[in-house]
Amino acid sequence: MIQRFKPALLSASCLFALLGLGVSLAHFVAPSPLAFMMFMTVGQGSLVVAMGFATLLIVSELRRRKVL
Amino acid sequence: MTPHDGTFSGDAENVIRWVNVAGVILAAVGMAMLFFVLWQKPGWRATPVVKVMLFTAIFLLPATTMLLGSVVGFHKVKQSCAECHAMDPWVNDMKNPDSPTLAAKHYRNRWINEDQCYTCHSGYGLSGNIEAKKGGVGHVLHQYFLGVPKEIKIRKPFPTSTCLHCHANAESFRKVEPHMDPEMKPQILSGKMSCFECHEAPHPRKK
Repeated sequence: MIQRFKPALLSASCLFALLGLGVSLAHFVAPSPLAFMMFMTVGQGSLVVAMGFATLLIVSELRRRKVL
Repeated sequence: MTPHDGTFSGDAENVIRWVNVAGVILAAVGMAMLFFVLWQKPGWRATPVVKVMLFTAIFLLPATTMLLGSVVGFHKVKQSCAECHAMDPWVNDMKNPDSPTLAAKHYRNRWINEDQCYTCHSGYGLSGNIEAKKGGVGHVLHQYFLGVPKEIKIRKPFPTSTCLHCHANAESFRKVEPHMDPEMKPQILSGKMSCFECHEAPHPRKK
């Protein structure tokens, strides 16, 4: 099931990570209470979602290769 | 130049500056890697080099960035009270060398060395930090989205425990007779009696 959506999941993971890193970069470049709030919510949320998608892909790949 | 100045000094502000620079570099490198991977054809993404890049850009760099961002953010946000003009009257009074208010006395004598607003208004311990975060989110929402209230006032009476955290066992506290009075002492220590019933107001009173 996951294998079918592998390219889409990988792209989504990259895009979420890109969004999260972008928000983090904005927080580092122009620190303000609003930027910090965005970093703590949108930024960290996106990065966690990206990591989740990537973990899902890694686990499914390992299961496909019968490692897990 | 003091011994604490210099590019590589261990001064907190300098360390935060370096953490900030590291955060910018790591986030930028991560973004560059992700743009590079997204730019490639899907088939090329399966090569070992790209897999290492993806692991770095999706796991290693974001995890480090989250950590550094939190360090910078929690440090900066403690100093952000003075950034909003709505707080100018309180901040100006605190920094006024002639003001008789308690906040001004604490500031000019450096009884609280740094982050003066945060130290007194956040409360101590973990619950104090959590309350401060909740309050801070509310302040940001008011500042940017809901509008600053016409009348700014403290949400609940200032807790006596915050004053007592530093003063309760100090010699200067114990040698004041009313503080040790058998009737008064339990009321002060339990918070039933506010410090401001006898002492100068912490901030200018409204006219």
